[in-house]
Amino acid sequence: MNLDKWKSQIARGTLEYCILLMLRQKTCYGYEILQELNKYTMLASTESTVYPLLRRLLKENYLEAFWKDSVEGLPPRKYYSLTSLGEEYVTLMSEEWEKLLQAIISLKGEDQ
Amino acid sequence: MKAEFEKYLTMVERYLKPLPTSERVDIVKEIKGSILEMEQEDLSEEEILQRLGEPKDLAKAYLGDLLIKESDFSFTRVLTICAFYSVAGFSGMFVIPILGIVAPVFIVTGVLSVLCMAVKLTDHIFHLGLPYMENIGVFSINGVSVMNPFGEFLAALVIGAVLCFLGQGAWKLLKFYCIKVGKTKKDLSI
Repeated sequence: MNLDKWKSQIARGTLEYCILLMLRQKTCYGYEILQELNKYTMLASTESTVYPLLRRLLKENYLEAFWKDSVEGLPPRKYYSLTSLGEEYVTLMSEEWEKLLQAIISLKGEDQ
Repeated sequence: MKAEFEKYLTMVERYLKPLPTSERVDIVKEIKGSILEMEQEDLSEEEILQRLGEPKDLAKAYLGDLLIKESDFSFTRVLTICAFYSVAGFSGMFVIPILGIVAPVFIVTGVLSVLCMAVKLTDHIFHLGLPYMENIGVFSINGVSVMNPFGEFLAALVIGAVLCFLGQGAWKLLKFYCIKVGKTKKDLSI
């Protein structure tokens, strides 16, 4: 059984959605996003996946970013937040996600 | 920040060469931020480096989706492409046909010379009186062999082996050349 492979495929497919959901709640800096994701074993990621993904979302205008000085002794942080296009995008994603969940529920045969 | 990390960031920046400077600086700054945050959390140098992965792989993750969009015109790129095709085209004009002919011909002649000598040796042993045998010979002066057919057969074996070996070498060289050119082309992402 190769459950890990399947898990990493799911994580890869949903990471974008998860990050957008997180940023809908509040503006976050890159490392904060990583820390948050690492709270969930399924979503645990490293810089090499999350940072390039954030960059792509910026390029596609779903996100906007700004640098801000942080507490003393720490470097400036790059904060990310959703644009209105990003809001729209994540709303549409949520609709699709609901459909997927419904499909899974009915496939399990638990939808009485 | 430790010198090890400075070195790491320099490497990442070097691999990000295809990107514009402003973008490169931004990326490195963000990774540096991550390193410093991790240091604050008392992660060891090994743990941090392990999490970040090889500089090349980290840079590649950024280049992956950007390279597709990076089709914009740049002078150095045009020069690189010109240089590549000049060298590959010019060298290929000689290397491919020469090696391509040399390799099979050497192997075929290697095998044939042994076969011919085998025929001559058979003729000699069984006195078959086959025609044209005087034309076959390893070392002959004015059509007269200076060695006996047994010696000649041994000499042909050696020469045949050498020819086959050379032919095989030429074939390998040709393969090596083609792979190398292909790889260079891929590395330059032309």
